[in-house]
Order: sequence, then C-alpha cells, then structure tokens
Amino acid sequence: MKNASNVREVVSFRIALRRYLGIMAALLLQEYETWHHAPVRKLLKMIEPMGNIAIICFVGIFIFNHGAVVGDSQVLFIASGFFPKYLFFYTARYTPNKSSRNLFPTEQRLDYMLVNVIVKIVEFVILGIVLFGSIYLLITDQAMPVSYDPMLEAVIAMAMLGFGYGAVNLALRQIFWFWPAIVQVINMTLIMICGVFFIVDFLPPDIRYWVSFIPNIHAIVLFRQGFYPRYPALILDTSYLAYCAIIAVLVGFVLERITRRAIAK
Amino acid sequence: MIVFDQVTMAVTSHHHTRTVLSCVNLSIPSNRRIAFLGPSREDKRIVIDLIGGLVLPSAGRVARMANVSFPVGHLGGFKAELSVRINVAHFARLYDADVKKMVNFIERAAGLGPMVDKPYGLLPPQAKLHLARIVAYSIPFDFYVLTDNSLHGKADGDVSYDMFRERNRTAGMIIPTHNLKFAREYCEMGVVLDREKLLLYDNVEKAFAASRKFLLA
Repeated sequence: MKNASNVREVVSFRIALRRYLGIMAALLLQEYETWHHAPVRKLLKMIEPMGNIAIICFVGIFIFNHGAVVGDSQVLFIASGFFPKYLFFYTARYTPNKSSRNLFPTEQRLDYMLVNVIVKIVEFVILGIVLFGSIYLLITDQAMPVSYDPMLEAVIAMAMLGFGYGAVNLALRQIFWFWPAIVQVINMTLIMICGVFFIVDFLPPDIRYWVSFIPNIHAIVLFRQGFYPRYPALILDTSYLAYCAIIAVLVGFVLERITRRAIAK
Repeated sequence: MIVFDQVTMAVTSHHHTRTVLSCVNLSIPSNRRIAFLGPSREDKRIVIDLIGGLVLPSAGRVARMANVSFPVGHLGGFKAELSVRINVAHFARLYDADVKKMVNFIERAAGLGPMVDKPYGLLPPQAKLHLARIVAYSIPFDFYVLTDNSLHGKADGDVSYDMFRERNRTAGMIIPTHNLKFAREYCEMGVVLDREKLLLYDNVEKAFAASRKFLLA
C-alpha cells in the first residue's frame, strides 16, 4: 500500500517512518511555499522580533548606562543576551489556531508544533545574521563571532526549552483561563533575571546559586561565548542545560498527548 | 477493518451537550460498501468524521486497520492564500502520491483552467466542492468515507461521479444515504445509527427496514 493515511494500518516500521518523514517534509515545503508566495507578508511578521530586539538593545544603552560590561560595546552585550532569550519566547508562542477540522487527518498538531520550532530556528538564524551583521558594520568589530559552535548549540537548546515551555503554557491554558496573563508576567521576570543586562557570575553567591537553576541562563552564557572567548562562565553547566532541554521536549510531547482531546474541542 | 472500541462521543453546541454515541463496540469491514442510515444529518456527520479521523472521540478509540480516506468533500487542509496548484502538490506529498502526475490530472479533471494558479480561497464554493471530490477519489484508498456533500446531484457526465463509480467497484465505502434505489445499486451492507448505538446489518434491505421508523418520521 503506497499512500499514507492517519491509520493504524499494519505496515512495517520502515514504511511508517518513511511516511512520517514524508509528511514532515510536506509541511516544511508548505511553509517554504508560503514564504515564496508572500515574502513581504512574512517579512512584515518578522518586524515583531526584529523591532523588539532592536528597541531593547538601543534603549538598554541609556537605561544601563554604565559602560560596556564586557567587550567594547553595550549594544552587542545586550543583543547577544536578548537574542537567544527572545528565541525562547518566540518558539514558545505557538497557538493552535487550526481546528482539527481544518487539517487533513494525516497532519497532526504535534507535527505542526515541530515544524513551528524548525521554522522559527531558521527565521532566527536569518535574523541573527541581519542583527549581528548590522552591529558589525555600524558599531563594533567584535560582532563577528569567534566561534559558531556554542552559538548554534545555545540556539538549539533555547528552541528545545521553548518548545517545552510552550507546551506547558498550552496545557495550563486549558485549566486556568487567565494563564496567558500570568505568562506575560513570567516572561518579563525572566528577561530581567536571566542575565540579559548583566553578567550572572558577578551576582552575590546566594542569588547566583538560586538563579543558576534557570536553564535559560546557561544558554545565554553559552551563546555569549561565541562573541566573547573570555566571558566569565563559572556558572555555565552545559550538561544541566542538555538535561533540561531534553526533559522540556519530553514534557512537551507528553502534555501535547494529554491535552489533545481538550484542545481539539 | 475499522474498529470502534468503547467509543463515546458527546458534542457541545450552544451550551448544550448531547451524546451521539455511547459505548459503541463495532467492527466495520473495510472492503465492503456500506450504506449509513441515521435520524439526523449532524449526528451522521459526526460519526463520519470519527471514522475519517477528523475528530477524536470523547472516550474510547477508533482504530483504522486499513488505509482510510478523509471524508470526501472535505478540504480543510487547503490554505486559502496559496494557489490551487501548490495546495494539490502539498496534498499529493502528504498522501505519498506522484506530485507531478497528480497536479496534471487534477488540472485536467477539475476543469479549472487559469484558476489553477489563483489562490484557492478565490474559487467559488461549487468549484471548491468539485475539486474536493476529485482530489479525494484520485488517491487509491482502501476505504472511502463519504459525506452528504460527496456525491453530485445528477449522475450523468460528471467527472467526480464517474470516479466514484470506478472506486465503488474496487474499494470499500461508507455512504450516508436515505435513497433505497441508490443504496441497492452501490451498497452491500448497512450501518444504522439508532439511539446512540451503531448497528451493522449484512444487507441493505434489513438496514432500511430497521431504520424505517425514523425515515418515515
């Protein structure tokens, strides 16, 4: 039997896997085609992350006007912290605006959630090239990364954490109708305490200990290591970050499964 | 084989919840053509959506042990802002069909002409429905799930009706109908939705006899 369907048809694992990969490829291609079809509309949608990051960077100069904390540019310092942080919120923000009646039975909501994460990583890679490229051209030479590996790792870790955070929010929204309002408060707090505007290593030890349980902080430190090779990274624990990212993804999968019926209504 | 395993389905509309199915256990053979009878259109549509996999039951499980189609005439997965051609290509990829062949076939069969490259949302509703039927019948499923919209009003000279007849000879189907003459021609068995249960009859006459009370009412 050649064609795929949302069935418990008894097929070999190989065929089932190939079908699933085919569906994911189809969804990604559809995303690409919406880009190709209406590039202006998609670019206008990216004004939101671009504008937010730009405003925080340039306003940050005046609010935290104590010179560059590390490196020679305050703008680059804030941008390199806020960029991965925003990726986290951006991947977490997934609203299932599609009712299951607006899908074919082969496309599951989980597939859309995964495609959403992949698309947002790609968008942020493009956005990062634009952002740090313009900082490089306009402000400082330091905006050229010294190594790309930690940056890419941080982006992937942030996207995984964001997926889990988004799934948790989606589930809690089914229970508490006011949950989206609380999410905004949590998001704002996270921006303030996650070391976007300061170096976490320079906090008092007590606070530093408690704050180090937030996995985002590790990802931000990791990302900044791409720009500043001697960034103070005593707090950085990459294995803790990896555990958290994997657990977040697993929790996301489980919660998606549990809330599937409730969301479908 | 399509297995209803302790399926309960409740739907809420206008703040009022009613039960459509309660604790249904049934196996529907997927290689037969089945007439589907029931008292109300909405309830039948819900059962059809359950079989097609568009909605999940409130409790229990619908296991499809065959390659089951989505409800014919349903094109929810098409995006309004993309062109018909791109939408059909996406559909072909989802169901693992040959993309180029499928697009060419649909282009010829649906008779849309230059509308193929226009956004899908701009099509008139009749053309959308026609496209939906042709798209569904062009994939070789084991079992087709039909809705009230799946069949064209007049049988002669309609492409989708010819395709329906073609598929009717080779694949299983479930067809909601109240037309005995039609059912005798295209169906072998009957399923009746009666008081929150599904009952399977091994020929059409028995199913119609069982459903006579609400057909007359």
